[in-house]
Amino acid sequence: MEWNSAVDVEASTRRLFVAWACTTFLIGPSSAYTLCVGALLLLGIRLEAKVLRMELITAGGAPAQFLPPTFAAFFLYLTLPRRQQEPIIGDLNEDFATNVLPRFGPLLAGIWYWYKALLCVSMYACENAIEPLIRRVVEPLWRCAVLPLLKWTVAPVLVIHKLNWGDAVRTFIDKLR
Amino acid sequence: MAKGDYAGALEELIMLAVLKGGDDAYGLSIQKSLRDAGRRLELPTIYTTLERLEEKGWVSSRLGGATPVRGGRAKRIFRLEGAGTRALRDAEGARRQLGALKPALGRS
Repeated sequence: MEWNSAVDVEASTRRLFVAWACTTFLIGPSSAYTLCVGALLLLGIRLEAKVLRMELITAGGAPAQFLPPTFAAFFLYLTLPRRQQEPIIGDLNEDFATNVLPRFGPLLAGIWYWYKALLCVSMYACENAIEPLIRRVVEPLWRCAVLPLLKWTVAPVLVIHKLNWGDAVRTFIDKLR
Repeated sequence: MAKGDYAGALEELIMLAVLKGGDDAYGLSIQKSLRDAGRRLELPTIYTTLERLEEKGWVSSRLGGATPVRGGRAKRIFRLEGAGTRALRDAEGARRQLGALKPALGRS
């Protein structure tokens, strides 16, 4: 049997996820029905993954312990940049199967995989989302709005009170009142 | 020399690891080589740096075959290009030149 179960799980979970997203879009996110459908679909994904694992074991394919946590792999698949998905998930799978699992057992290896998945996602989030957000939104806002506002409001009061921050803040609060 | 024309410390390390990996240098093997050298780097750091090196034209990559142990996922195999080798040589030369300043540093 060719090793394509991971791809199968991935394809089926993707299908199920798209179905869930479409239902949410059609019915509305606040609907309780949508939540129920989502929960059922997630349950379906779990069951499907389990069935595929069982099929793989009975078909004499790769041993079951080669399979890393399906949800973690799917989580990585959803969150990593497209170009990095294949190599990073593959490398994690290989490290999981060859180094971590034989040494630490399935439970710790699963935890290790989840930890690595979250680490990878947080690193990419920092690089691709948080850092550009700070650079493009927070920094210009700070430079163009917050700093001038501070300059116009706090600085004159601070000068009047001979750089005494306590008096300056008190006067500023009194003015605001 | 423009800022992007020379290799940073991390880029240099990763290029050396790619060189060490030969024809089968991919993320995990590069990580292992670096770990053996006492540097613990996570896969996203390695792949981001490799992507930057690829943009500079110092390394090239291709998709390798998928193996069962990788869960059917393909490897991205990296190879050092001529420009990358030149950048490594430049970095080595600069280090050697700076190394000559060490005694002067000791005297002051």
